[in-house]
Amino acid sequence: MLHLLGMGYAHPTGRIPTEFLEKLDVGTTVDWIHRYIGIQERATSLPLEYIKKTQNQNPLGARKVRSLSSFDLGVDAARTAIKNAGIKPEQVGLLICNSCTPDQTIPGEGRRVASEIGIGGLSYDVFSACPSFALHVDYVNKMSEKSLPEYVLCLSTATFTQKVDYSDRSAGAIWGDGAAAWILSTKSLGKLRVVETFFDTDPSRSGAVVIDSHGHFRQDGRAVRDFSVRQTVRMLRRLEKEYKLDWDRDVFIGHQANRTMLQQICDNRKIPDSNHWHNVSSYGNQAGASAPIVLAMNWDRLVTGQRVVIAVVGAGLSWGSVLMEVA
Amino acid sequence: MHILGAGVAYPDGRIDNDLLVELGVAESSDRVLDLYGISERRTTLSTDYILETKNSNPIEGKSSATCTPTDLGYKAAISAILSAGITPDDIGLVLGECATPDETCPGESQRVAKHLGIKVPSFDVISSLGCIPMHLDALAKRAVIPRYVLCLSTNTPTQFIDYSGGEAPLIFGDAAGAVVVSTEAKGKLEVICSTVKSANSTEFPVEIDLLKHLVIRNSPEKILEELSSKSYSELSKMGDIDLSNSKLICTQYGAPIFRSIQEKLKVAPEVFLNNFASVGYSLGSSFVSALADSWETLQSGEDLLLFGAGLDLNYGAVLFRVRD
Repeated sequence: MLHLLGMGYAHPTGRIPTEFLEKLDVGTTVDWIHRYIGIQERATSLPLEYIKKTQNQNPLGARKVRSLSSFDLGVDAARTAIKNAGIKPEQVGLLICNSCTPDQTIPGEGRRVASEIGIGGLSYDVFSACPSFALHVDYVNKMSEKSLPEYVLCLSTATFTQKVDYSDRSAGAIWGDGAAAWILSTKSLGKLRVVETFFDTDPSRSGAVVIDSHGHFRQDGRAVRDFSVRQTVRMLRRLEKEYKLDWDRDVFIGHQANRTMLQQICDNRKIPDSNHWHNVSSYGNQAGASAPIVLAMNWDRLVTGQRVVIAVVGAGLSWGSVLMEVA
Repeated sequence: MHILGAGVAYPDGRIDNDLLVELGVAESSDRVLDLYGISERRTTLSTDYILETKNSNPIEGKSSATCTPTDLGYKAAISAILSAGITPDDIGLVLGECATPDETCPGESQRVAKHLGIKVPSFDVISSLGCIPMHLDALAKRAVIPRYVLCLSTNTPTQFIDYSGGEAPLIFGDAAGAVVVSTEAKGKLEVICSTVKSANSTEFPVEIDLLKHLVIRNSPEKILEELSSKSYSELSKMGDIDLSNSKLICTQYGAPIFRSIQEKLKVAPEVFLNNFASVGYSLGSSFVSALADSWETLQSGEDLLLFGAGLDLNYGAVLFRVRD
């Protein structure tokens, strides 16, 4: 049985308020963003002056001015997770990492972070963009217990604001930067016990969300939004039926892409505000880090017996869920 | 676990040693062959482009390439699927690896799966070690896997090389390789045992930054050779190795490593199924492409030892038995 022992997260200190985006004069307004996307602020590693001056038309420029990279955020989040799990880096027997915005591919982000913090075991990247929490927990959950080391560190990190074209009014409104890390174990008990995991993809639509290695992020916004709502609702429906979830007690954390979209899902499933945990309004879409960051931020609110559903969707197109119970 | 089929794909372009001399990055063809054991490297770049620009801007290199990593990955995948005697619809899981992607999102597995027209779980498991042994080891650790799994590596490092000087132009080549794996169906190669580990190191010898040229910081031969020897030792602890009845595939980073391993193991060079001489070093594609190139030559009853390291200093090995 898999347990989640501890978590960590990291954001850059910069923030992009919605009012700033309106002043970029790219055809968006505070009202429109608040109504249709529901994000007030986004965490960013870019100086606002740089965004104002260049709109990040050439993402190569972002490298020169950024305050930190996805690697830096990943190291921070990983160190915190290890500390919160009460272990040392050398005790981690496996590190798997997901990053949509790596500077380097050799060595990969997982190897770089492992090397930086002194991980004792094997490290490599396991990647599927935004649903990486579900992918990673499912990946570890499907490994035979005898082949798993005592502690597995999972990490998701991305600095999407460095890949946004800020003349694109929709992309600029969505993205934020962040990293999340979590420690799993089948041999040590943790606050959360993993009950069930699920991951799937529809590669026929893999072109719907793209990050060019040298260029910008782009997506078919409408198609992705419809897919996101539909798949999340489907996953929740199945879990509700199979596990008799009670939204007055149990908690839902969705992919932090869009507050309005998340509300649509909660309205559909009748999930009250109190049991819908989110942070997209204050940090933006932090990609694969976003849902686990929400869980990490609310770690002390978890109540014994409560169940937590993380249901996430994203590029690939891929989607997945993790059902956990608070021990 | 068995490997049922293997496929490989190379771009049409070739960088031979004469071209390197013409570029001014090598003294003579013979010298390159002597030092590295490489006479040709496959490339997605046109030789005219290389001669004209020396790929001074790797971002232009990518955009002027004759084909993408996904194109090569798809060809290798189709070839592996045909070799396995199945159809794309039979595949239940796709694992991908690419260190030179045109897009960092979605994953290469998902792009190739799209071209194959299949809707199955697909995600990337990425290490410079490549799909063999990395994916095999990951699958071996799973409690259950689908009947057929497609594992692929596709890499185009020549798009990141600065052809104005240094060692990199002499070494690297582009390739893709894929295998179909099953724990239910029997195939030509049975996996007897496998191992993958990470070397604890803060100094990686080579870097690929997506916006810059590939950089060789410290010549990798020594560390790759050490880790290759280590991976062989790990394998020999796990399984019975009979070198008199084995073929070998070791790290494909040129002749120095191969010669050193050959000397240590005291085996004839003919037992090695290397392909670096005509392909160059294709990062994570190197092991699987060498395996796919040799597929038809493998004889029932013999063993195949595949061992070595990747530039991310992960190292690993697989012991295969060749079946009917």
